[in-house]
Amino acid sequence: MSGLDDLRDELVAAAERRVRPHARRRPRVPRGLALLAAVAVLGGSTATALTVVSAPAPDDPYDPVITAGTVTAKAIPMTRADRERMKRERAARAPRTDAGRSFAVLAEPPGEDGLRLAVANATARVFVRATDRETCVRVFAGRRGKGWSGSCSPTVVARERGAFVFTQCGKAGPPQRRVVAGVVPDGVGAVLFVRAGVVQHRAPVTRNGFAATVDEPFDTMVVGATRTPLPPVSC
Amino acid sequence: MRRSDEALLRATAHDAQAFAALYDRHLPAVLAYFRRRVAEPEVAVDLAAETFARVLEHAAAFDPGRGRALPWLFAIARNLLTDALRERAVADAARRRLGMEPVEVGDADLARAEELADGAARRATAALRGLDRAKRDAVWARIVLERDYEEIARDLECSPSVVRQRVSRGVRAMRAQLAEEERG
Repeated sequence: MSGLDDLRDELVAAAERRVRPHARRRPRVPRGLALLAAVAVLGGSTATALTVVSAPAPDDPYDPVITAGTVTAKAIPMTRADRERMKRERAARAPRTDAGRSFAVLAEPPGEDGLRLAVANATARVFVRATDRETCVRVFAGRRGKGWSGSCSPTVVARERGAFVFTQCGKAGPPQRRVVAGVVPDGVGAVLFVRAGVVQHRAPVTRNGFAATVDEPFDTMVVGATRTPLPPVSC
Repeated sequence: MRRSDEALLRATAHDAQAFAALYDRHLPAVLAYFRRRVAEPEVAVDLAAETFARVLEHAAAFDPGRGRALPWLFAIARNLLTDALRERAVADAARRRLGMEPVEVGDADLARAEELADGAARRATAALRGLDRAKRDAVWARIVLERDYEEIARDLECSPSVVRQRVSRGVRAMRAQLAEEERG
C-alpha cells in the first residue's frame, strides 16, 4: 500500500472517529520515537540525573507522554584518552566489513589521511574514510572552512543508515536550522528529512555524499529504507 | 446518483464515507493547485493532506448559504499555502488534532501525486481552452494568476463587473464541461 493510500486511510479513519467518538481506536504502531532518553544535569560535573522514558510514539513526536519514573545515576567524567580507548574497543567489537562494497567512492585512490572526497557544496565538504571495521566521515564547513567534525560508525551500521554528523544552534539563520552532512551507501539517491511522516527536505546524494542546510524542523532522517530518529533542536 | 459537494460536506458529520468521496473527488485538483505553486511535490502532498484534515475538522462549520463547497475548500488550501510560504513550513496542526498517524510518502507516491495533479491540470486546461477568448483571459487572470478584478479590468479595458461576469460564466462553463466528462 502506498503512502497516498495510507493518507486516505488516515483521513477516513479520522472522519470515522469523529462520527463515532467512542469507537475503539485501532492500535497505533509506534513509528520513529519509541524510546526517549532525557539527561538532565543537576549540578556539578559528576552528578547527572538520567531519566529514561519509555513512551509509545505520540501524535506529537516533540511532546511525548512520560510514563516512567526517574533514576539517578552517577556520571563518570571521561578524559580524551578514555574516549579514544572506548572508540578503539567499539571498533574492535565491530565485525570486519568491506566498506568498499557499499560505498563506491572508496574505490577511488585516497588522499591525505586516507580521505576520499564524497561531495563538496556551499554547505560542506564531506570526506569518507574506512577501516576494516568502521566507516568514518569528516565534514569541513563550507567550501573553504578548515574546522571539521567527524563521526565513525561500524560499517555494518553505516551501510544501512549511513554515517553523518549534524550541527545545530548556529549563530546565523533560523533557530530550527540544522546542517547535516555525511555519506550513504550505494543506491541511495537522496536523503529525506521527515517530520511527522512528511518529507520536509530532500538532500540529493552525489558520490555517496550529501550535505544539506535544513531550515525545516524534522524528527527523522531517511536513508534508503532506514529511518533514523533524531532529537529535536534544543538550543 | 452523484451527490453534490455541499451534500457530501454536510454528510461528513455522520458518514465517514461521504468525506472519503469528497477526498477522492477533489484530491487531484487540490494537488494540482499546490503543485503549480510550490517547487517540490512532497510539499504539495503535505499541503493537500493538511487541507483535507482541516476540511474534515471544519466541515460542520460549512454554511451552504454563504457559498459553495469547492471555493470553501480552496479558501482553506489558499490560507494554508499563504501560511506555509510565510512560515517556510507546512502546518500539521489539524492532522495532529485529529490524531492521524504520520504517513510516509515515497518516490512512488510523489510520482502518483504528480500524475494526479497533471491529469487534473490537463482536464482544466482543456476546459479552459474550450472557452471563448474573453472568458478565457478573465478566468486565467482571476483564477490562475489570482489578480484583483480591478487590475484585470484595467488590462482588459472593461469594468470590474464585466470581468466578474466573464469569470463567473467561464467557470460555470468549465464546471459543466468537467462534470460532463466525469459522467461520460
